[in-house]
Amino acid sequence: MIPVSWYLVVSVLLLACGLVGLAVRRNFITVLMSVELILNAANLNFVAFARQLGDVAGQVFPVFVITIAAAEAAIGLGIIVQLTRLKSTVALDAVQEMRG
Amino acid sequence: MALWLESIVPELILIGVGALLVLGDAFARRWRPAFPWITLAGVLAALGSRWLVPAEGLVWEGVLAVDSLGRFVDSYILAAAALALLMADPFLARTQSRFGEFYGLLLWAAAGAMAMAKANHLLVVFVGLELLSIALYVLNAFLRDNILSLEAGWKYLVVGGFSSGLFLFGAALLYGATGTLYLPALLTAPVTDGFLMPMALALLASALAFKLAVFPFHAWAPDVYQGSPTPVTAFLSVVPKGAALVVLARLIAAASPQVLAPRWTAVLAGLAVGSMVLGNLAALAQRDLKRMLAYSGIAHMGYALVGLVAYGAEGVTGVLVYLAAYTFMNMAAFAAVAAFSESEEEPHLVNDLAGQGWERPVVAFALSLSMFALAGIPPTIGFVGKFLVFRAAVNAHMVWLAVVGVLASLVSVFYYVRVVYYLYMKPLPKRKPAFAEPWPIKLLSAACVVAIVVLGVFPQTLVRLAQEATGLLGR
Repeated sequence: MIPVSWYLVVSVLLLACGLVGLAVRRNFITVLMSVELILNAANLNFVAFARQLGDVAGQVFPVFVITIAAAEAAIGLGIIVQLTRLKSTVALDAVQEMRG
Repeated sequence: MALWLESIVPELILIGVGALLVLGDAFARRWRPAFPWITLAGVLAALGSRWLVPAEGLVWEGVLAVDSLGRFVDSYILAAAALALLMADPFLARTQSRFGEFYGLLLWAAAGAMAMAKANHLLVVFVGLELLSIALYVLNAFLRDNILSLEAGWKYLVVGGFSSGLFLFGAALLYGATGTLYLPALLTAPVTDGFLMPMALALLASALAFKLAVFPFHAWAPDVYQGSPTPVTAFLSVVPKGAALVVLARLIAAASPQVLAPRWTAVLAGLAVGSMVLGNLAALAQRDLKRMLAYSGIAHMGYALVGLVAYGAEGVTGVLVYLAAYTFMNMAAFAAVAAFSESEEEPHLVNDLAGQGWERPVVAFALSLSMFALAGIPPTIGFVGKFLVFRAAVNAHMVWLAVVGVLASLVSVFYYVRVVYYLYMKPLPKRKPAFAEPWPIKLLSAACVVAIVVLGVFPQTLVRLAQEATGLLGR
């Protein structure tokens, strides 16, 4: 059996990818994808721990997370559609009306 | 099981009425003028049933703690929802966006916050948090032809998604460290790993700190507050914060004594001091009323955290009273912002208030009173809240924290009083035609004025309720 720490390493790498994506990418869609990466890194942790502990609760949690992440992405895409209608671009920097 | 469906009747009412309104908007358009009143009836029914059903204890396999703490915070959430509703209808009429979805989403957000307030299990915390947040993303971006509103929705969504990710990662590590997802069980579960547990708690606390908008997780707040529709900003500025504070309190009650009590205290004290100092100093520089209130909100969550740092029954009582006080003060302030602004595309400048004090007495008086209350001047409820949290800090031998808090409040007096100065001492510009605000706004202002003064002079009942609520938390 693969030790749980290996899964943790992978999930931390996924988390890092997501964080870097949030920090450096300047595109709406990529930002949404980065958020999804972070959520799925946590899901991987849950499933790995659930297998290690032999407990089903950790497998049920990701099902909820996946559903909620889909809802969140739907709302995000809706906002993006409306923003691109008003601004005709998917570049993040175009939407920077508020400062100070 | 004795306690089954009846223990979640208030949430069921909110979700049901919300669904009814969303469907009603599609199939029964001519009922639209009645929507706000149906919503208000739903909120009041939920509030009534919360107090009628004496559900005290754990329900649903122990995932929900329907206790007096939950009941106190539920009442706070529902009161905030009712006040935001009074503000919402005139606002939506003015911006030509009187859709049923607004009311449905508001009710669902309240239901999510109520689930968080009573959650005894990390999954319930998460689902409640997301129900609250996802409904709020849509509400933030509700003025869909207004770029500021969309930008606010987008920013809150990205920050919210990020903080949900942190929360989940923390929850997963906590699960791995203890093998359970129940909050109280975290206390007794054998800790298998000395490294995972502090990591997990730090991640969970940061995620909740994002929702609280405390330093250094506050950067989103001014933009989101400014861009969102004003009634949504009012709701957003009190409800998620109350729910997140309760989750934090339950988490500390569950985890602190055994694992990292001194470190928790140090970290939370750092957050509190940072928020109080930065919030108040940044608020001094603001010209936009909504941004000023955003920074003031950051500072106020710093004060509330002081109570949480002191902890114990006294500290948490202080936090609960502070939350109630903050609701009434903030609602009065945002009602005035909504009443005084003419266009949602323009900034809500403090300068625009010049001379309005005599033109529109009710709203202006409520705004001035709420400014004094936010500054913590007696005999308002704002003073009671500050007094309780600072006294708790002193009694917990953290005098320095109380001193920082008092100094920060002194700074805050300056920008709060500036608003009152503009209202009453500056001449009215000629160009403005006077128009009367609709009666719901006046009713809201009057209700907040009464609450701020009466609860400020006679705080005993509120304090007693808060004390009862903290009794179950232990320690």
